[in-house]
Amino acid sequence: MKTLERLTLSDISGQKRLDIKLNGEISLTHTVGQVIDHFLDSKRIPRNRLRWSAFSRGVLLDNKKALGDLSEIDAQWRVVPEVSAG
Amino acid sequence: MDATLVTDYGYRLELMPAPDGSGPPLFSRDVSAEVADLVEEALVASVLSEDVARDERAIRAEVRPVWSEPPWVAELEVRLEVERNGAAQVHSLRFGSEAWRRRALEETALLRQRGAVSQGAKVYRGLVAQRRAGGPAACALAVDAPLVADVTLEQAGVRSLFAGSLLPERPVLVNRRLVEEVLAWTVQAGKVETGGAVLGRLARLPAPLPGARTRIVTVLSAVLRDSRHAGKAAHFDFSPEALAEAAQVAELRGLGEAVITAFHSHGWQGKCADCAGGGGSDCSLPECEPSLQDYVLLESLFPGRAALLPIAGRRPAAAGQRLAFEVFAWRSGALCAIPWQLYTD
Ligand SMILES: [Zn+2]
Ligand SMILES: [Zn+2]
Repeated sequence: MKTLERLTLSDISGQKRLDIKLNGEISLTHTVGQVIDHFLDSKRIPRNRLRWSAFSRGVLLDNKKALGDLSEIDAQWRVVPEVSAG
Repeated sequence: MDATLVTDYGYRLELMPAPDGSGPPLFSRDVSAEVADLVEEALVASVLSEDVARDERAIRAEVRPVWSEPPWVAELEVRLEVERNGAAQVHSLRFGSEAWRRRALEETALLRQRGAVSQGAKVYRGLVAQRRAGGPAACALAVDAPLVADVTLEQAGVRSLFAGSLLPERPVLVNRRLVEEVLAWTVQAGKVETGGAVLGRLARLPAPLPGARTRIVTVLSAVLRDSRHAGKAAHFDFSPEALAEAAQVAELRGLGEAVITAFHSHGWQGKCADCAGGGGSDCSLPECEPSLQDYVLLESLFPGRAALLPIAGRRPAAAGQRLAFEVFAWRSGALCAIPWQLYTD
């Protein structure tokens, strides 16, 4: 299994995008949850006390998993909150 | 798009017991940082209206107060300056106080909860500008330019245009089948809210459509419902799993679409055809307008300022057709209903 070298995060519509080259600010020891936090901060997206998840190829990634445990096919994430309309 | 945000002022949102600002404020908070959101909205709007190129490198964004009476601000002016052939080209947008309406409503509700304001008492909002002690401040602001594909109308899946009208600077086309489905589901669901993912795209056409002044159109092409989303009265939970799957479906369709937004209904019951009319309505269903919670939905799920929010529900003021399908867009710092045109694929 080849490990990740780069990563692209976006919101569900793909309009807010962040490309990350690993082993800079973010390394393989960072967790999925930490990378989501980094995305939200750098895009100034308010957390609104919601639960945030990342999906790769439509599959939910475990927030506690380290990037080193993901393979290079999981290089494109969609960051999605659990949110309601009123 | 990288902009340099220049501002000479700091801003405070104040809630007051009197409209003239006399007496100590009930609430006062520094909102200078939120000015960046307005600049982002101005940048995205200017790209969509083709007043600013999406690959523009050096943009100078300056925010200035338009006084009602200093220190009170009537509007904020966002001036976007780009260089064209050695000369500065300025595109300016104004933001009224509706940009602070939502925050003011949230804080007023908290004040009432805490008993700081009695239930019946009116609360007024105001924006105060104060010149920064250290002189003008400049900071870098990185904004993702809207993702727009160069396609023809046919490639965007649009066969013929029907009823409706377009906002010249933000034309929106909606598939007729999408509207029919959303309205049918809204009626079917009754007082319970329904909703789902909306597939669509931003397309730059070879020429503007009749009634538009920009070539960039937003096309809402299809809706996807999923039983993992769950609605009840005045509430609709979106399932992240279902949305992620909808994004996969959008990719598989191979039409260049994405989950561009999500729709939800505000409920409808048979008697709404009458109860929606005039004042003094006893209908408990929310009107077809974004709630405070809908702002939370849009800014977290679809954080780009090009995002649209379609809502179906009752529209009391409307004559005739009272079950409405409305499309809301970011305008002047708030979500406002904009016109749109039907198409068939
Ligand atoms: Zn709503
Ligand atoms: Zn009603």
